[in-house]
Amino acid sequence: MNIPGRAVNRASPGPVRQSSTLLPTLFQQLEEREHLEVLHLGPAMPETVDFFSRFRCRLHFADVFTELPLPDLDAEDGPDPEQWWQDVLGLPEHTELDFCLLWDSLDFLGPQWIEPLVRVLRRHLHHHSLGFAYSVRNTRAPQSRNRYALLEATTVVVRERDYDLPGYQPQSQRQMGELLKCFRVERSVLLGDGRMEVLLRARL
Amino acid sequence: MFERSKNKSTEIPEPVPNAVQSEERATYTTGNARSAAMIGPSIVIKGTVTGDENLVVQGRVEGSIDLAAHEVSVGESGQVDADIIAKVVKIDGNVAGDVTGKEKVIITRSGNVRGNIVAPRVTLEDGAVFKGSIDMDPGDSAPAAKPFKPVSEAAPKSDAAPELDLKSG
Repeated sequence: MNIPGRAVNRASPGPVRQSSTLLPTLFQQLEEREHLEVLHLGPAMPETVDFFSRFRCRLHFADVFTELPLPDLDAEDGPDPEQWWQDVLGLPEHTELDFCLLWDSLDFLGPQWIEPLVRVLRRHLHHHSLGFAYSVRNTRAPQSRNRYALLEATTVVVRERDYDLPGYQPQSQRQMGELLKCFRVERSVLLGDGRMEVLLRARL
Repeated sequence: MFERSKNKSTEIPEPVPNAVQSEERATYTTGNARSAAMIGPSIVIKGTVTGDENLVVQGRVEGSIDLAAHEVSVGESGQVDADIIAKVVKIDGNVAGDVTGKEKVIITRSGNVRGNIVAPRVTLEDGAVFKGSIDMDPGDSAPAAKPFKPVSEAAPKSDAAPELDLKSG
């Protein structure tokens, strides 16, 4: 796919299966819940829909990556960021999320967009809500271009975009922990490619 | 506190669920060709569409489509700004509205849906664009009583392993 204004550097390789250490732990904690409310920040992917179609759940897809670059909040006609997030997430008023799949979306948001996201998310979390995200070990890490889908409770499918996304500004795990005030980092695992899986637990 | 691992990756054929979807699509199209009403590409309907047969939408519908006992297919040139209720809904075109599939909803790679889906089973092909929520309840056909396997059962043998595990408080 060639998006105008986005340099195409090379052809995307096929999808790759990547094991996860933290997702099984997370799903084990969700095991007893009869109905799941899941937020997926990213493009709707076939495997994710297929995976959850075995269970009683409601999946909320919000592809924040299609909104990049995000509007300039300092501009005179800039949006109200909380309202903007409410529109993008599209969560019904009384939705209580059990599980937030944030993937690597936080790498593209920056503090001024993460803070209003936290304020909006907090309204939809409960004390047992969990989250999962990818982070970087080093903020100089290059953009990964990955799109993620859930194949199994142990396995993620990774497809690569053939272009870079605008607005890449990764946070260190410490910065992420400070900004993402509605969650605390419960556990993180360094991956072979220098990125990190992060398991999050609601902090209300 | 720290664990070492390799976190290997394995390339897989693309896309994983599409073999099943292709079969579903072929079956559905064959059935559809026999007895389906067609809203042609130049037709615009504003209001409620109901009836007692399958429907293929290649044109534009604004309002609602209620064919709860039948199949609705939105073709690639179809533009539906309406809620759809049908037994099976297959979307190759554009839909803005809520979709209820009594049996299943299929969004193919050319499909673009903005709205909420309710169906016991939903299939999304790679390349499809979807924004909204999907409410799924597979009912008694669910393969397992418990949705997620315990770690010891679920962990793959060959390609799983963390490199370094950091626990935070």
